[in-house]
Amino acid sequence: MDEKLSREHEMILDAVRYWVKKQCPRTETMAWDESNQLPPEILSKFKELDLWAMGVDEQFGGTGRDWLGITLVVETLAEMEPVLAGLYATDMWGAATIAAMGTEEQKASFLPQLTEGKLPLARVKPSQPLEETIQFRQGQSGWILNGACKQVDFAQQAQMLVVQATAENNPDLTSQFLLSPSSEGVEISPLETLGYRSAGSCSIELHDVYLSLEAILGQVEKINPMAAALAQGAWNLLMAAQATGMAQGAMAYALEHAKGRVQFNQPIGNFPAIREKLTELSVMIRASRLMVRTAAALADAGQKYHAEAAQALLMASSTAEKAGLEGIQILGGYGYSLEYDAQRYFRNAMQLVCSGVEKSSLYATIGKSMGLTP
Amino acid sequence: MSSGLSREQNGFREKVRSFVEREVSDARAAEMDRTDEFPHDIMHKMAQYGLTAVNVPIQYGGEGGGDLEVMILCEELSRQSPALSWTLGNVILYGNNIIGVNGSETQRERFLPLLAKGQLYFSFGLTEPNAGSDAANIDTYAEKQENGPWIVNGGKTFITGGTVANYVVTFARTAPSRYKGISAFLVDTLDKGFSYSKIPKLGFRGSDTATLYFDKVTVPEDMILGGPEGLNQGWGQMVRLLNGERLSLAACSLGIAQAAFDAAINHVRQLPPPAIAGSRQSVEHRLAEMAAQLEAARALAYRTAWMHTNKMECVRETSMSKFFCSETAKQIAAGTMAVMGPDGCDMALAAQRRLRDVLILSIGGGTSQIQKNIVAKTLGL
Repeated sequence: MDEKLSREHEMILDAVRYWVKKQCPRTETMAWDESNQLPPEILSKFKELDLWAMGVDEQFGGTGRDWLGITLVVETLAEMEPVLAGLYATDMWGAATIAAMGTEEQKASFLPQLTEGKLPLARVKPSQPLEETIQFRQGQSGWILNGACKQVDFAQQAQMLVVQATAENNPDLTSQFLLSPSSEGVEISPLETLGYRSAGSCSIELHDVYLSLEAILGQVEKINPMAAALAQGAWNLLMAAQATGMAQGAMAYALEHAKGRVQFNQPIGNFPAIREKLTELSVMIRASRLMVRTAAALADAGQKYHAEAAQALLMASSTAEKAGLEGIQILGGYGYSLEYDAQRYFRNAMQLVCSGVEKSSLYATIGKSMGLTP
Repeated sequence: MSSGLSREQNGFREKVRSFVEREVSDARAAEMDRTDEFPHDIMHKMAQYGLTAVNVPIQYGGEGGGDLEVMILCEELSRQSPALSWTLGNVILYGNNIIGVNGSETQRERFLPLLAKGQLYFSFGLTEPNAGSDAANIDTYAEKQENGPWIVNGGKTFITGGTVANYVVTFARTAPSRYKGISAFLVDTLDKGFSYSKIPKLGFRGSDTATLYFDKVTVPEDMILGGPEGLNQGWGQMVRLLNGERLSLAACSLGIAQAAFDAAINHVRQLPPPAIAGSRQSVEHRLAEMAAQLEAARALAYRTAWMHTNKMECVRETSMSKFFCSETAKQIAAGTMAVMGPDGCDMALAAQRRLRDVLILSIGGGTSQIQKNIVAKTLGL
């Protein structure tokens, strides 16, 4: 796998880079972060790029799922505005999950809307570090869901929640359910977070939420035993792309400072201690990027990619964390000031590490591919 | 945990701890972080409790303690609210310590009794936009009027307590020599020509940090630190303070690390028992590592403090303590957040604040990189 992209992918990359440069100047993105809100007009302008179609097959109005293209978009957005990257990634994840597991009716019903970016999603997945659970059981005419999830990004604007729940009587049986945030028994309360501040994050509680039989993603009679793994594989790949972009953004910002900041009569980037921090980050970022692209290429080729996606996320998330922390250190006092942007990269990176990366599950996925039983 | 400390010092730690438990609730610490307002109320209580007098000699109305007591104080405050150790630093570090160590007798008599009562705040005005790690590269300068006072011109930045200080110990160039041409002036912040603007920052919120402007500020000659004899002695005066300041910053790191570690332990303890025995091993091992890191950091810092108190040469150990404690605390605070998952990033909980706070401790008072330069130099490299 080399870094050379096809002409089509180069064009996608150029278009997104140009768009970000034009529509997401740093002063604006910092202001959105401070106000905890992504302006709706930015989202509409972003939708004009028609990138949602990349997540959906042609028969449902898309251009055919293109994981490499999607991860390029996510990575590029995350360099400047991770929240927008996360929003797009969530919808792309939802489209892939519905396509992989959904019934024909579900695909026909949701995928055309997702193609046009008209069905904003939020993923509700119980947190492993918090040992949260959401359980389902089958009632007489449908499903009953109970449980809670501390952090759900994009819950405030979502029209549909994709909820991961485990069977009450069988902890090994996990499935995804599609439900409206306004369903009875769904309690949503805003959550103030360190990073991704404009992501409209919320805590969600489900109290005896009744759903029709069709609300389960896939066949009612035969719950897909791979449902959780399928969903998580795609999610990990998209998170890895976000982490890679974020790390790149943080590193580039610190690099610019290191070139311009003169101490002891020379730019601080010339000092080995600083140069090595930046070069080490550049190596880690390149490794993360290649790992993301490898996993994306495998996914596009219809091959197994979950272990590779998990590896990519392990690498990229620790790279993003390091880039966030080192970015502040390299900027020194300026890194600590809210008037500079290093602190936003740091906050977003820590948010991703805390809420988007469950290391033990990544180790389990990778270990399994190596013959190690979780 | 406080091995090597005297009974009095351990007693002092208990005294500070009980003050914090009584006067600084979790909600108050969080409020300070949210509003970023200087905690005049808590400062008042600390003064009443005698904490502002801790390192003032007895003859000036103080408690007669030294840098070790300051460390204990910083560590204990930092467990709950690191910013308080800096707001108190505006009295005990930048006032008591600077005047006590470098002031003339007249200056000691004038300022120390008021400082001991918590009635004055001092700031340490060294850093400038172009003089961060390269601290001697200052552009602020002072010129002597014919038979009269000095006129200070220039600017300072990232000055702790710059918005509340009554006096700013302002380092200014008074001669061309890089190190021997710097003098420290006690600038009265009510004087004409002095102004400031507050810098919003990521952590240590409530401890105001400011950019200061000096536009032809007049300073009488007897307000040179150390009196008229202090002229061009600023760099040496600053160096004499470094060990104490760096140890107190190491202590802030220890306090934050301890609090983060306690939170991680509490988080794991309150989880339901694991479904599969042994399945929590990786988290448990991470906590075991944190416990070991914390012990090592504390042992290094307090052994160095013991050397410092016993007047042993400990520049190397002080720099080691400064970078090791802050970098270790950073790892522990970040590790705790990862252990806590979404709780780690919840703004309503303290885990995220501890990491935001700790990040400045590997920057301020000489970055980790500068500390390593010093250690390498003392190793003969």
